[in-house]
Amino acid sequence: MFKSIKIKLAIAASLLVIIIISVYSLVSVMTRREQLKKEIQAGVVSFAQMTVAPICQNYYVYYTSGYFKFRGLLANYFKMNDNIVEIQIIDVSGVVMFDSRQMDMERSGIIRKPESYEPDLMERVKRLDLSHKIIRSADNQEIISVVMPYIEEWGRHRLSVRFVGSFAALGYLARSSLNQVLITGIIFVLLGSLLAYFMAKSITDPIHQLTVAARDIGAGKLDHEVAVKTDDEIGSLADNFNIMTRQLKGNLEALSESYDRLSQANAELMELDRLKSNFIANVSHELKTPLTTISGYADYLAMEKLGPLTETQRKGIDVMRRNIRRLTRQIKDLLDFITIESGHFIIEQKPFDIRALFEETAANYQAELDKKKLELIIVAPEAVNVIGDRERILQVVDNLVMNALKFTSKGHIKLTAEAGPDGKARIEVSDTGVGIPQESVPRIFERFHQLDGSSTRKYGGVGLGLAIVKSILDAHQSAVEVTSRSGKGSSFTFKLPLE
Amino acid sequence: MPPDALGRSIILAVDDEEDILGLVKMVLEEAGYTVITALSGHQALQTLYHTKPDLILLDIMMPELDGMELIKILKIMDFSAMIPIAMLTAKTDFSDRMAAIQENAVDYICKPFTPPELVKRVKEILKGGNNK
Repeated sequence: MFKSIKIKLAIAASLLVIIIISVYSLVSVMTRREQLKKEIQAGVVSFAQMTVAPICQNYYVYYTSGYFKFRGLLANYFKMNDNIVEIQIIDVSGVVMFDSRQMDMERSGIIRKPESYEPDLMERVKRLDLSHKIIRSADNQEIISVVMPYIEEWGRHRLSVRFVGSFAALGYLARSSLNQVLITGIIFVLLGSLLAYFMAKSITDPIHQLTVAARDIGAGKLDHEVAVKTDDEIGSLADNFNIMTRQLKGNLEALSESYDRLSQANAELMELDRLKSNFIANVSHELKTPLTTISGYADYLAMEKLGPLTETQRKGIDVMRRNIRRLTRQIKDLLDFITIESGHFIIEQKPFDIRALFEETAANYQAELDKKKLELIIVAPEAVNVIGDRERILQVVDNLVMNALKFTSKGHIKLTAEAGPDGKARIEVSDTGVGIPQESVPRIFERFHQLDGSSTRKYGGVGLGLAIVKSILDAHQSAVEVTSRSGKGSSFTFKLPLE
Repeated sequence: MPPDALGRSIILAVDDEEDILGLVKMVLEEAGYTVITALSGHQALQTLYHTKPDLILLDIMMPELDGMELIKILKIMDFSAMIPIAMLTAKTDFSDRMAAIQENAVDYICKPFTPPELVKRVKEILKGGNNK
């Protein structure tokens, strides 16, 4: 409940009103009290000045002969000022002749010593001191005492009168003021709270509208406009909010437009991609099918299964078969490369023995090795089981060996596999061939790249072998490292995870 | 599987290329099998209606009814469901291989193949089939 700004503001404003009213009332009551106290004092003193002579004259005339008359007259004097509570008549010889507190009794009342009223009362009487004094009474109330001398003809001073005034009237004043303050206070607090509530409402209502709008816009209702039309900070917030909404709407429309365009382009690309892979399959079929027939029949002719051959016919057929193999290889590389490039290339992760793979490669190239009088050395433990796509890794090793074979005229080709401490097998294909100049190393994996124009003729191939190697190893998250020295040979190394 | 009158296994080769069929027929007959051929999927179905071969060699890329469609049909027809089928195709993609294996093809021979390779693979399949 107290989480709402509206309530918080209302409570704060009410408290403020209460505090202000309280302080104001307190101050005004205090001031009024002081003022009234002075008025009471002044009243008592002037009463004393006015009544001292008649009281004393009455005393001389009636006290002894007509006490009831004297008492009646005195009672009339009391009625003239409510604040007067006591009157004492004191003889300068030091005897209190009359005390109004004993008025109800007979004349033969107790005669008191002036010291029992105030210790310095007699001094004040004798000094003709007209000043008044505020003292504490026996029951600890504040009272004012005025001692007024009665000066007769020829300056004779026989009697003084002590007047005692009370401040009890102040108590009434305090009580009535408190009631007044309480009533006005309650009225002001109610009015203040109401005012505070409406003020808070005028602040929080636009905020609430903005909250609702923000929620709606979050939910995608971008047509929601905030209808706050004030000139204050909230009004400017609302204006900017509306501007933001409009911009958001515009941006969203632009976004959805470009999304439409992109998805259309994407659909076109997908279609193109489908056509491309169809095309690859068709080309592949169109090239491989005739090649199969040609190579099959050539093999059969060579095996003399279709009749005996003359020496020149055999030579011709051998040339044909050699070139069929070369063509087969190039077509295979080309199609592999297109497949890899097109992204329709899936890697199968299965364990296999790399040594067996080396041996298979060696067997494939035995005839050519023998012909160039090169040695192929396999350095690998009995079984190194790695994880990868066996067909593809075979292609990698095959490409590297063919590459080595192409550029090596004497010495050997070495296939190495060893388990490393990092849980991976290090596989290396090295040769003792012409090597690669250092500056060319970064470029040998680019497609269609061969070291120089003439090498294409000298060494054959279209320069796709190493690009295929790189793509296959990329798909295995492996990289090829090349170390080479011109004239000393090259070494290609890559790593595969061990089983 | 019942061999033919001379006691030889019968192989049905299906391909739209007459030259490939000629080569396959020549190579496998040389190796001692009886080879019958079909130039299309429909022709293969007609042939299978009256002949029960021991093995079907099936090309994938053929007009009208291609190899993958044909193998699906053959595997649900009761006269051909039990005949082993090997694909003989120029499609070398891994995905094509997987598709063929899912259709229960027993082997997947890629073109270009050499005659000795073809004979070896056929021999292996038939040996496995006879062992059953």
